[in-house]
Amino acid sequence: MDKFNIDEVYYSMFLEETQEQIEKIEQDLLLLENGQGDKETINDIFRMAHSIKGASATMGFEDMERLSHSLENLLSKIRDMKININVDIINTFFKGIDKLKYIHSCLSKGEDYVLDINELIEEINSLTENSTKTIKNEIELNGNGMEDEENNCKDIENLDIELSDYENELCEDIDLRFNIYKIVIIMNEDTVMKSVKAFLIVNNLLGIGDVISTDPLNFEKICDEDFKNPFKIVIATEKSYEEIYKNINSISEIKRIFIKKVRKSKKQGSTPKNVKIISSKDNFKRKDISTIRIDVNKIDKLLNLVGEFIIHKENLIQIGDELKRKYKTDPLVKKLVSILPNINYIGTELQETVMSARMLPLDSVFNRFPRMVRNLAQKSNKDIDFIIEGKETEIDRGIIEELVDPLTHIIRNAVDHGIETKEERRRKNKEERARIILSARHEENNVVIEIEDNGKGISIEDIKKKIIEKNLAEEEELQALSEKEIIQYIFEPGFSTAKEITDISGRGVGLDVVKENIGKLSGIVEVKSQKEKGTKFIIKLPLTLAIIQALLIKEGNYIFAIPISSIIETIRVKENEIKEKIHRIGDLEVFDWRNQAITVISIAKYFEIEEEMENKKLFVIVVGHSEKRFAFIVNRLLGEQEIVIKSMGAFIGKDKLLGNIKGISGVSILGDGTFAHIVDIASIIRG
Amino acid sequence: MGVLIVDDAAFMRMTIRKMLEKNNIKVVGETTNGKDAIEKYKILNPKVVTMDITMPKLDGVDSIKEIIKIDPKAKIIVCSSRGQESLVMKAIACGAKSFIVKPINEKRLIEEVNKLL
Repeated sequence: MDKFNIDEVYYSMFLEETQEQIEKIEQDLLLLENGQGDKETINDIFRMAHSIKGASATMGFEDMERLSHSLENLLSKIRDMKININVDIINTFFKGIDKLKYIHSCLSKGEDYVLDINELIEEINSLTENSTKTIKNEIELNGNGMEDEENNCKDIENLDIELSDYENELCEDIDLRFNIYKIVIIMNEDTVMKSVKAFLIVNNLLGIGDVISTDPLNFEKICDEDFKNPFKIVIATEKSYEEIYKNINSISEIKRIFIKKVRKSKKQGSTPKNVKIISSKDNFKRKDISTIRIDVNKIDKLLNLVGEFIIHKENLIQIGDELKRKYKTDPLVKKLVSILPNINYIGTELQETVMSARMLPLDSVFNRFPRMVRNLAQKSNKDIDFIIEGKETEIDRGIIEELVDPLTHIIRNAVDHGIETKEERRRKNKEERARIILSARHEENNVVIEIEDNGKGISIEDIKKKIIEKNLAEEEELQALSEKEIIQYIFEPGFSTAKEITDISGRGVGLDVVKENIGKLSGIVEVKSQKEKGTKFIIKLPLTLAIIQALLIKEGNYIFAIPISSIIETIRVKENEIKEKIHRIGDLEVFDWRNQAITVISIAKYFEIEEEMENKKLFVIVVGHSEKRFAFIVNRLLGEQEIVIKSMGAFIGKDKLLGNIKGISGVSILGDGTFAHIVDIASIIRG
Repeated sequence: MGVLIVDDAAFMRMTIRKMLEKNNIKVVGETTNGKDAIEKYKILNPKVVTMDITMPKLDGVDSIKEIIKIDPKAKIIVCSSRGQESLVMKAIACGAKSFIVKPINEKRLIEEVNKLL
C-alpha cells in the first residue's frame, strides 16, 4: 500500500491502537520483571507484538514492522520455554519498546524520523539465538582515537554513542536538512581551565553548526576539579565528519575525539537501507507551529535589560512620590504621577513575560527518574511504584539544571535506605509493593517539590546515636531538643545513618550537599518522617533566581539586602527597651521573641563595620532558615524593593579574584547606582 | 611575519619572547597596552598575537574586539591567570582563537602558537 495515500481514519485508528498496545506491553514487562507475570502475561505480550507487526506492515512502516517482528520471535522462544526470561532480556525488551514508542510519537505528530534500529534488532536476535550471550556495553570509549584518517568513519560507526532521551527530544525540533552528530571529547587530564576549553570548543563549533546540547550542561561554571571528562556535545550541521573533526582538532590539549552521526540529513543522496524517512502528509500539521527557537543568550540579555529597567522604574516612582509631596498642585507633576502607575504595570508585565520565557516544565528533570528507580529497585530486590505528579509545573531554567543532583540524591536515598526489602515489608505486614511519589506544584511565588516514600521512616534513636558517635552534639543537648529538631541533623556535614555504604547511595556525599545546593538556589529543604510510615522531603524553590523582593538595610556606609522570603518579622526596639529585650548569656546574645529566646546576630559586627554610636533605637529582623530562627540586629531600615541579583560566582571562592567572602550571596545595583550586598542567610547562620 | 607580544609586565614579555625565540619563532614586536596593540597590529601585521587579559588603558577583551574588527582572521592567544575564566570566555566570544594560563608553560605556549602559525 502506498503510505502517502493512507486514509486518515485508518491512520489515526492505527496510531491509537498501537499506542494502547505499546503501553500494555510496557506494563506487562514491569509485571514480568517483578515476578508477578505468568504464562498468560507472556502470551499477552506476544499477541500484542504480533498485532503491531501486522498493522505496521499494512501501513508500510517498515522499521516498526521489523522491530516488532524480532521481538515477537524472541517472545515465541520464551513462550515455548526454550529461553528463560532474565534481566538482560527484559532490559533489551525495554529498549525495543522505547524505539517503538519513539517511532510512534513521530508518526502521531506527523513528523519525519530517522532511526537506526539494526543494532538493536541484532541484539534481540542474538538473545533469541543464544540467551546466554552477554550484551555489549553501551559506551565503549576505549576504542581507537582518530589518528588514522582513513579508518575514521569506520571506527566511529562502531562506537555506540547514543542520544539520551532528553537530547532526543531536543533533536525532534531540528530541521531535517541537518545532520545531527553526537561528539564525545576527552581532554588531557592536566588541562587547566577545562570549562574555558569546553567553551572554546563550543564557540568554534558554533561557526559550523547549531549546538543543541552539551553534557555537562552549564559547563561554563564548573571548576577543573569537578569537570566531568569526557565532554559531550550534540550538534546539528550540514557539515561532514571531517569538517567537524578538523574544527575540534584545531584546539590543543585534546586527547580524543569521537563523533557519531545520530541523524542523517534528508538532503544527502541515497538513503541507506537501515534508515527510513517517512514524509509527513499535508493534513498532519506540526503541532508547534506557533513556537520558535531562540538563543538562550538573547533571552538572558533581555532579562538583564528588564532588570535594569526595573531598577530605574523603582527610582522613578520614588522621585514621583517626592515630587507629589513637594509640588502637589503643579500640573506637570500631576501628569507625571498619572503616568507612573502605567510604567509600573508595564514593568511588572514585562518582567513576568521575560521570566516566563525562561521557564521550562520540570518534566525534563522528572522524566529521568522512573528508569533510575526501576533499575535501582531491580538491583536491591525491592518492589516500588514510582508516581510522578505535576511534572508540567514550570520553573526557571537556571534552576532546572541545578535540580538534577539533589533530586537524584534524595530519590536514591529513598529507594536505598527508605524502602525496605520485600521480605522486611512482609514481616511488618506492609504491602510488599512500596511507593515513592515525586510531585511538584506552585505555591504563591514558590515551586514546591516533594519526594515521599512509604518506607521505614527515619529512626530518631539511630540519629541520636549517630550524633553522639560523630560528636555533633552532647547527650544532654539532645534531650532538650524536639524530634523535629533532631531530625534536622541529617543535613549536617559528615552525617550518614546508613549502616553500610552501598553502591547505590552513600558514597560519602550526604544530605548536607543537597541542602547546600538547594540553598544556593535560594530554596529550602525540609524533612518530615514518621517511623514505619515513611519519609517526606519538601523542597521549596523560588520561581526565579534573577529578581527578588528584598528589605534594604544600612550599616555604616554599606547597604545590605535581605531576601523577603526569609524574613518572618521586623520589630522596632526603642532605646529603653534594648536592655529588657536583648539579654546576654555567656558569649551569646539572645532576643525574646514570642516567648522564645533566639540567637542574636549583629549585621554590623558580622561584617566588621564600625557601629554608629547614637543607638537611639534598633531594628530586629527575625529570619528563618528551615526550622531555625535568628534575630538580626540592624541600625537603619531603608525599605522594601525589588532587586536584580548579579551573581558574583565568578569572583568568589578559592583562587578567585575576591577570595572567600562569607555571608554575601551576590550584589545588586540600586537605582541611584549604589551597591547593595545580598545577605546569604544560610551561610551566616552556619556561622 | 611573526608574533606580537602584548603584556604590561616586562618580565612576562621577556619570558614569552625567550621561549618563542628558543623555538625559532620570530617575534615581530612587543607592546604594553591594548590600545597600542591595535596600532602595532595594523603596522606589523603579525601572524599571531599573545594578549594579556588585564592591562591598563585598553584591556585585553576590548583590544581583541578592535583587532578582530580590523582583521576578522586575526589569530589571538589570550594569556590569563587562574580565576579569570569568565574573562577568557568573553575574549573567546569576541574572537580570540585560544588561551594559555599563567604561569606559562613553554611546551603549551609553543603548541598553541604552532597550531595557529
